[in-house]
Amino acid sequence: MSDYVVDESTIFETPLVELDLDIEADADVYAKVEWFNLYDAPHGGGSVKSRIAKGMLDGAEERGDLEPGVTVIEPTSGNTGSEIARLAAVRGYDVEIVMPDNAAGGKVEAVRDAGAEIHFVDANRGYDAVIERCEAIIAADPDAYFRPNQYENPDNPGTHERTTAREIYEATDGEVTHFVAGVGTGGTITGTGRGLTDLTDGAAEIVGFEPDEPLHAIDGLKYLKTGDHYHPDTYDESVLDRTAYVTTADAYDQARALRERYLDDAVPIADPGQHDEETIREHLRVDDQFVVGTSAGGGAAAVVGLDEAGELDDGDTVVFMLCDRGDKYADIPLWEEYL
Amino acid sequence: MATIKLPAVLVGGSATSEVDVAGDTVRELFENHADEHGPELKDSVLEDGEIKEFINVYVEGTPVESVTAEVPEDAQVRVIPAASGGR
Ligand SMILES: Cc1ncc(COP(=O)(O)O)c(C=O)c1O
Repeated sequence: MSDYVVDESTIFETPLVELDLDIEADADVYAKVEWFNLYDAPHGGGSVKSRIAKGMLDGAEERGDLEPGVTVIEPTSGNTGSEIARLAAVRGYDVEIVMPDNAAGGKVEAVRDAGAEIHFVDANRGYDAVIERCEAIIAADPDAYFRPNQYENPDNPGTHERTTAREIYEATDGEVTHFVAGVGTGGTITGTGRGLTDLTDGAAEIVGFEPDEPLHAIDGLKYLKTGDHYHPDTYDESVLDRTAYVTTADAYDQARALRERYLDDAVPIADPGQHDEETIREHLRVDDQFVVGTSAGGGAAAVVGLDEAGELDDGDTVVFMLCDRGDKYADIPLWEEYL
Repeated sequence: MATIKLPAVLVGGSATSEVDVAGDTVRELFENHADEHGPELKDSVLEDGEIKEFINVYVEGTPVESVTAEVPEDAQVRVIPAASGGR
């Protein structure tokens, strides 16, 4: 039995902050700060994936698909892996995580800390190879494993539909006009998009963004634009009003711009979620700087792109996701001046 | 001739493929590859003639910083983004 401890009650009800992006429209832009899920955990807290790790494990336990003695296994580039490893360890399961060997350092450490076994796959073989390796491990001993399977599990979008969508709707007093999220499994955009479409009677525009180039470095996002790639079941494009494409260069520029914009100014908290202001202030920054992860920069770039395309009007209320904190990526050259 | 191990995402699916290309430096290698096979790989790796900041190029397993880095005869060259495109 593992003695690993994380506090699952800190998952969901994350803070919403107001961000000053460089856009023409006089719109309010807000971001949901997802590292407040498991904010106390080492290596940058949790991420948007803490939500679905909890949703998928709860669902499997309730249905009896996951029982004591079974090993939880999942292919992931990191965030889903660390969150499943953390929650499954706390619940007493052994965990194996299959990752590409270029996964961000902080994520590898988080998986290791939780006591999970890691199988590394040559990153050159791409992400689909990570999925195939996981399938091969399970095939060798099918009864020994339970795979949550974030690419096919309806609890992935389902958790966002039940939680993320409602949180955003309530924190914006129902005024959200645009929801913007990057596509990895597509769970965030599909589930939150469905929920917000429902809650706003279709008034909220749902915008998914994908990497613009196949060799990209926006963590957690899947290149789908051209070519023959595995398409996750959890990504239902019919929920989207629009797909945007973001380059890694723009994503990194926006992440750097956010750090610089808030060097001296506090980030305004629009809605604290379940946290008190002191906790938020303590965990919003790293070494007193506002450093967000690569897909968070991608979200800002997507919002700026919408504005440039003339899609934003004065008075709009735009919400995007800060999926994880930047210190998970300390080994990539994103904030040299800060590192 | 050096051998470039093409990232699977450029090939499609999870198979990598290898291609032999002539060139004494990293720049020559990607220029020559573009001349023979089209610009997709070169455009994925180089921006304004330099290696993109988020792309790591390995020659014989060692990361190189600059397009002027030398590529020995028969070297293995790999190209990997700094972060992974999974979830
Ligand atoms: C940092 C980050 N951003 C975005 C995503 C994409 O989220 P989704 O899988 O819900 O599409 C992920 C998925 O792992 C992620 O880790």
